[in-house]
Amino acid sequence: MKRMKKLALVFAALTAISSVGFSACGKKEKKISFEFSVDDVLAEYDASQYVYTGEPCTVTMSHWDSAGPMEKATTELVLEGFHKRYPTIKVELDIISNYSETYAKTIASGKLHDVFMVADGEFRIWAEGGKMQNLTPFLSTSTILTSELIENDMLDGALERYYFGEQNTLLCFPKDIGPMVLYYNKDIFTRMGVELPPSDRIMTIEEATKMWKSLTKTENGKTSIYGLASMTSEGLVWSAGGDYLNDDRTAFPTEEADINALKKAYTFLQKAVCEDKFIPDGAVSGGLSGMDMFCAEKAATIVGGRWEVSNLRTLDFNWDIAYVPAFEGENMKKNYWSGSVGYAMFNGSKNKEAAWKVIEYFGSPEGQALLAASGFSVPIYESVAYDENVLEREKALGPQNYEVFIESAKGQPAGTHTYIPSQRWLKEGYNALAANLYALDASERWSVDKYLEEVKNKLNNGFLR
Amino acid sequence: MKLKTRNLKEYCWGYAFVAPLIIGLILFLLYPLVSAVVYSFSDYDLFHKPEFVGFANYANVFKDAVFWKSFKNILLYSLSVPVTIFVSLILSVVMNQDLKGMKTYRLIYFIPMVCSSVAVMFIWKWMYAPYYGLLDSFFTKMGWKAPLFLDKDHFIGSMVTIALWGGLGGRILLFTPTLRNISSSLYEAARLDGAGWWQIFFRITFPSISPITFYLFITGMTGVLQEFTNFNVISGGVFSETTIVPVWYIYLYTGEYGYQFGYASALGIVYGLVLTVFVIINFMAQKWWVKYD
Repeated sequence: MKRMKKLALVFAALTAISSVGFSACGKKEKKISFEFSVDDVLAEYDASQYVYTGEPCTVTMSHWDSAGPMEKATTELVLEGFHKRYPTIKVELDIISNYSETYAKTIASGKLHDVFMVADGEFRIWAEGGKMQNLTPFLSTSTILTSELIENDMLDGALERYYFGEQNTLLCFPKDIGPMVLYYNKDIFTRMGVELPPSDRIMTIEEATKMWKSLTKTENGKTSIYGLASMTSEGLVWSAGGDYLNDDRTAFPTEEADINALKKAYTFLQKAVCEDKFIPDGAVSGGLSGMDMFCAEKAATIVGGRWEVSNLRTLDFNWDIAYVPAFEGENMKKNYWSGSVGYAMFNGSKNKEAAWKVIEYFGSPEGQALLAASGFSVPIYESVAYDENVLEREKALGPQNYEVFIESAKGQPAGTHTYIPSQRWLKEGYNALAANLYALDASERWSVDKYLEEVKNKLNNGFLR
Repeated sequence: MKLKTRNLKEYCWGYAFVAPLIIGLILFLLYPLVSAVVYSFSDYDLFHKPEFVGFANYANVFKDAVFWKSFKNILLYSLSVPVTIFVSLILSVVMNQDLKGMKTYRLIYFIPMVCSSVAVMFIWKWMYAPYYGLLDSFFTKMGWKAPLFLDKDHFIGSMVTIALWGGLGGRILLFTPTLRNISSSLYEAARLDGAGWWQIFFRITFPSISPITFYLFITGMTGVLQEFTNFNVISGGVFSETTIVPVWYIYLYTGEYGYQFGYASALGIVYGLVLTVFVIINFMAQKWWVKYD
């Protein structure tokens, strides 16, 4: 008996020691500091507009840190500004790992934070949970997020992705917008004697094809540098005037314009991979991502999001950005998709007024200025994005053509991943079947017509549920 | 009276010690299992109330070509288990010869066991990479054309190679002491009777280590059939009919495919039943080749 007790004591002691050890390990997180003070940013805005007449309270807020410690630090930075403006509202921030999956279950459980972050890809299905507060009444009475500000200054497409249902109810307010651009390796362009892509307009696909071909370096049948690391079809389909699904997103499109655009886009991609060979086939790139190839200087250009910048700033070669090339025509500005995250309010929150103040502050020009000053994201307001200080700092760190981000964000809609709640139609339909378009063995390769026919069969047989 | 009190105390202590395990089993195994069975008969997406659909989800599982394709992929990959056991057994027999430097070899084979699985996968991904990968460079230097290790024709083979590399150490660790425990008198008697190396191996060595071989086979197969992370890391998370495995496919339904927990549960139950049948068959078949005495 005594031995058992001793054993239990030893076990308990070991557990306690290891717990302390592990928790001590967790506290070694490096603190990120910024080269400016929150007060400097706040001094540029009118303090009198931040009024809260409710009772002092605590608002809970959930957030992801998918972009690493920098994202957490930036969120805390904005909250520091918020606490200075609203000292009677305390915000308790919960950073949640594996956010999308975890928070979906939290929504199902009904025990939500007062304010919670929503990525545009999850917005529709999360909205169906019926836990998001209609923000329209709050927005209509806001003296900070005025209709004038939204109509005249907010980048197109930032807000509209957060309307839901037949009533077109606003359920989230955007925190940021992440446009897609063409990153290019300036050193490769110089070495190959190829003219840099323009920074003041969108190149046509014909122009870009010539450029990408010139950048592709092949010796003894082996390509050592590809013109373009990878490109998905969204911008090509949209700029050609088509779409992937029918209008109510329940089936493969039936409109001739949509089908022609799909044919045009996939014919270009197939030719680029199999004939012109300036884009590597998925098999050639193996397990490498397009960004891996670009960073390893095995590709001269890559289409990527704003979130790649912090990683690219650590590279040894010179790089910059240009617009993603598109088919010439009236839809040229829809040259790719942009990502976004927004904030929603729990409709069961006991502190709705205070919760709105948090959402409003993140979406305000001041909150956006703090986010922009941290260099983390592209602000949703043109005036903040074009702020001299922001431009100067961002250009110094790279890319020099920083304006391309802002201008790209103006025309790029939400991605195909936001179309319907399930991604199966994309993953197993369009994307998985596309491998047959690029088969190395020409006899096994599908024609674009056959590919689209197969996609149609899949999509119209239960894949769009 | 004193004895009764003592017995009672012992019972209490006994229950206290097993309680954490029992509670854990109920909370984290039994309850989710029963829930999964219930959900598998419903259309449930987390955000709407579950709707009873009878056996519709199960009918769809049997018609789901991608699921069965993923099953085929994992079956091919599971060949790594007998291959690894066979290679580690041969290596253990060799290492059991008391030759010079065997401890160092044992240590080298054991190193993969103590490395982080995800970190190891990233290293392999780099080794398999075209252009700058270690293997590609090696092939190029030798003047050979490097295969595309991660294309649809080579992907499973490349994964089996990783499993072989990572699985040797642990198995050698278990085989070595078992081999050492076989009485040397058995070998001496066999040699005196004129038995050759293969006869000794199949009549003495293999029967003596058959329980541990069976254990390694069952645990190895059940582990491999639940594989997900390694495939996801090596393929860069890109879905294709070559890279998909059942657990990954089920996982897609709990998130990206619209949180369809009803269908995901049905997939999980069917797959779980397949694994259970596999284990039962193996336990029944062990009487033909596993010697416990």
